[in-house]
Amino acid sequence: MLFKKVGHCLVVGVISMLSLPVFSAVIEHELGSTQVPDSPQRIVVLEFSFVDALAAVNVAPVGLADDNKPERIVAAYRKIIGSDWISVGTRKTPSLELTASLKPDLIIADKKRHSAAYATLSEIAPTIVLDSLVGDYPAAVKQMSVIGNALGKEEEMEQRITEHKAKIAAYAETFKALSDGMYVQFATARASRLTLHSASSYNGSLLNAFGFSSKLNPTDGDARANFYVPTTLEQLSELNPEVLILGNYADVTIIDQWKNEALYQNLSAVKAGKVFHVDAHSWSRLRGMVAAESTAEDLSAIMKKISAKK
Amino acid sequence: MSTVYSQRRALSVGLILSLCIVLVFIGSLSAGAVAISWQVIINTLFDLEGEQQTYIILNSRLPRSLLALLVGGCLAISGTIIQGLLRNPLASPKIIGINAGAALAVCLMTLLLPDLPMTYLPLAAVLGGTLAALIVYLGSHWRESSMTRLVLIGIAVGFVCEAGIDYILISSPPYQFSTPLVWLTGSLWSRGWSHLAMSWHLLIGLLISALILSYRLDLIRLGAVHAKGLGVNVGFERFLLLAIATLLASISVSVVGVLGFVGLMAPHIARSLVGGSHRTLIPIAILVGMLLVVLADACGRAIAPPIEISAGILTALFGGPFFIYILLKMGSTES
Repeated sequence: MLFKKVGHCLVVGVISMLSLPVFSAVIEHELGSTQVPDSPQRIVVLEFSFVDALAAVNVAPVGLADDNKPERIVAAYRKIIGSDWISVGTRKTPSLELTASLKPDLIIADKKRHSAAYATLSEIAPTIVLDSLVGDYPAAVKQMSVIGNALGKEEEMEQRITEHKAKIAAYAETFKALSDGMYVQFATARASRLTLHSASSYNGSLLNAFGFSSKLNPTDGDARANFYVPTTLEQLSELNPEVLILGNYADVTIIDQWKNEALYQNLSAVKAGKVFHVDAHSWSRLRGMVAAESTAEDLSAIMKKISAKK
Repeated sequence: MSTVYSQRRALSVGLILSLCIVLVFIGSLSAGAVAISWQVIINTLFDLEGEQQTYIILNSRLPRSLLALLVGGCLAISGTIIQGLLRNPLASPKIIGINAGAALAVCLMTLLLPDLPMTYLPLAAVLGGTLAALIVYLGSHWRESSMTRLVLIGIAVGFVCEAGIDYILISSPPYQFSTPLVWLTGSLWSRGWSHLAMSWHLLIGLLISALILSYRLDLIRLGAVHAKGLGVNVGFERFLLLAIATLLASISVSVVGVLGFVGLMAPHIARSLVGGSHRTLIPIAILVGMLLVVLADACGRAIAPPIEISAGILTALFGGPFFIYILLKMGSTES
């Protein structure tokens, strides 16, 4: 009789342990450490790089901050996460009540944008805060591991990272044959400003991973101010990149003003017809492994054009 | 001369405004990105059986709306006191440099101490706002005290701070200033009980002191010589009132950001309703300020969900034309 009772209790105990959400993983992040559920199912992400991380391991978020412009979640992501997410508004001020109404079990927020709301977000669901906007490409890949742990998909994420690194290395190998150590400069162009992404920025370090070089290296210890360098035509001509890749944020940009100036026409990249245009949003705002792989495809197309010219 | 209004009129205006505040406050509980039925709101507020929305109603909309009431009232009384003291209808907390000082401090903090958590933002704002006001106040008392000089120095300090802010914002990458930029527009986004808990003792304490002291404003307004004759220590009382007004505005700005227009607009709207005697003007101005900010915050959440429009943008956008209308109307009755 007693054995039966003990056995019964044991069975009930084991079943209830299995059915309760198990809070096991403790994730260290920018604002401390947070206990997250074992494998979160309803995730809300508030920056694009976190969408990238989820897509890398085939997880679809229930809600995300897409600035209310669904097209900002590019096809490469939609292919994996579908398009059934609920927009929680802008990345700057995502709607907290909409986030709460999705009943998330994990929120991933950005340090620069959402630190002030960390306490409030934590009231809604376990929240981890990562620096999505600062840091280079290796740092962005490293962040993927943290998100992998938070999702309870450590192994899957590590496997994906290994695959990704192999892919990038393969691209680098093919580019090497065409243009070993060539100085490739990425810049975003607006109506009144050209901003170069330096070697220590996300895009600069990604180009470096592909085997390209840069003359725009940070000069002092604080790299943050040297990530994105607003540049005059004189400075651009002094750097004189061999290939210039432009992401336009406006229909008419400062490059259109420079077009007829001798200084611009004398740039090596201009003379050799090696100025190329890419999607500013995908290159500049998105970061992560999926984004880096589509950058690789863009670069591959550019390299094909260059080799056709030879 | 402005029209003399009876106390009875002040009472009825006060009652109507209070009723409006109650209605807008209730409306504010139902405004937002998630549509919630009245039944659910009532269930949640009174813990009745049935569906409830605890987080959205009790932890988000309720504390936000209460904070809007508090800050609106504080900015309004601060503006009324400053206008009364300076005897200048253009005056507001902005004119003594509070907004620009607070904003510059926040930008400097973000630029120089980028790793400091954003939870320190209110502290930087209070320090910046108070410091700017102190510079303006000391400047106005250099050699001899002059209220005209105070206004001019206030404007100059404001320009210097704003130039600094513009320089910092133009020369820095935008992502670094994401949080300060939202704060600069005066927004109640992500404000909750913790912000209320942090500020309400101070603000209510200052508000009550200001209410008690403000009847002296009518005496001070008679001019330094007359007031002295009536037994008012003008210098000291002016300083005390100005200090309270400065703190009220700095703390309010530090919690919700630069909600500039309320301190200028609320006293004028109140004056058009009940006339210029501070005994009635101040309570009415407080009610007007409360109404403006709660209304702006609720509308900001309701206009284009899930995007939130900052309360500061709405008070300026819709308050501005209304303010001009009030001034034109006042002008026509006065002439």
